[in-house]
Amino acid sequence: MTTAAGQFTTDFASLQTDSEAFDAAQVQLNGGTDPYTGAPVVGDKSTYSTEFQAAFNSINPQLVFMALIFVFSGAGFNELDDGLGVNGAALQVQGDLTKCGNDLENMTLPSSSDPNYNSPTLVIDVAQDSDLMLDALNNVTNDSGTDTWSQYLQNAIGSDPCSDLSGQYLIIRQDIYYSGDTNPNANNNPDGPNYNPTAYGTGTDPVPVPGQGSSRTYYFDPTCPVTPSDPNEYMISNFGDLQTYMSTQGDPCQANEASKSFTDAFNMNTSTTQSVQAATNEVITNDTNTIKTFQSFDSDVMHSLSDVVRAAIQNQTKT
Amino acid sequence: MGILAIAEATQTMGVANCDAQSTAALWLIYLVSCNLPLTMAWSTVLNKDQFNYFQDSLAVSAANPQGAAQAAADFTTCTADQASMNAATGFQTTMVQNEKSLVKNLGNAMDQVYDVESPLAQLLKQTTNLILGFAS
Repeated sequence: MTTAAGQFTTDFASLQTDSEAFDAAQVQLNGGTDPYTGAPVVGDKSTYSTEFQAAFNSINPQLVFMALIFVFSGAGFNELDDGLGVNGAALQVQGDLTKCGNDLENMTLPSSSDPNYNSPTLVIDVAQDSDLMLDALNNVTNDSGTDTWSQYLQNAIGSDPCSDLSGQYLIIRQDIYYSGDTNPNANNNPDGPNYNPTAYGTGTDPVPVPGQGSSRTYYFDPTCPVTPSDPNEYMISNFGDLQTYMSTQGDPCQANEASKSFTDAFNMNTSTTQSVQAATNEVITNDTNTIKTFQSFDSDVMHSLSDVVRAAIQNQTKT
Repeated sequence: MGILAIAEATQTMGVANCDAQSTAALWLIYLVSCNLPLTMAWSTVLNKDQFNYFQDSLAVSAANPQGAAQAAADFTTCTADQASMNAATGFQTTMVQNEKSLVKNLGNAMDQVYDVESPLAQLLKQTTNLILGFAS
């Protein structure tokens, strides 16, 4: 059975693949260059020029008129069809985003039979995977420098939803602090440029001690002592302890607040992706109905043409 | 091509939506498993408080006038614990309610996921009729 952490890796890879596919669909719509092969993409619209060239040059007004109608309606049909392709690719990206959020949330809800139930591993996984999402949503170049796909991701869902999702992942990420954190952009990372020690503690030791320093702004620290009964565990070090503390009187380590912070962020995340999907669905429905109109128009024209031809043949036959 | 892309995306959206619903259900189970022992623990405290209050109330008499003060103290403790219990369990109850709203919204969104297919199906039907009409 795939673990939630393994599922995230799979879904995140799909997010990248589908973001690139979205860009390819956009290129198909606009015409241009294939982003992978560099070959020029021939738009569907241009194929009509040869097929109808003879009709245009025939000097027969009826044929020219009919050819023009078919060129325009056919071009419109193809443009809308390519538009559907773009919106379909956008929906794929939005679905992947939802799945990535679900995977992260699942990681925070391990069953007691999970080998990492009482291990800090899952907390670190959530922090690192949130970093990946933040990098993608903020179009940050990753270590290998090959994440141009995050720009496609932003195009697929729009800049405002991207910003909203980023803020929600940031809430999740900023609930976790651990020393050795390698993300330079995490505000909780003491080695990073954005780190503000006065926000998280005092002096050279960024870990706040109860009763000393500024109040903390995070709940999880996987490097804290892991025994729930240990009086020195002032941070939650694993999700098993989170569950234990939530079941315990006195709300140790502010477990309920920690859970609510995560849950609210994940719920907002789901709502945001659902809203974006609903908007895309509207566009798709509208485009589909327009294609139907184009098709009906084509059909009517062709039927009219058939009638004219039939009448002409009948007249010819009579004479 | 566009229709195929939409069909594929609809499948992905359906899976993602189901995934979100099952995650919400998982979270509710998780929360209930936290809430039950918490409620049990507080109930034990309240039972003990009420027992103490009942016992000390019975002990009040002319020969034991200080018993009234003890009973009043027991009542205060019981009231305070009741308030603490409400605060502790109420926090989790609010989270449950929020999650229920989310699941309901996801259910509604699922309808919208498949609503997208409706005009596409009509388009395909129209295309088929068109081809059959010219073929006949």
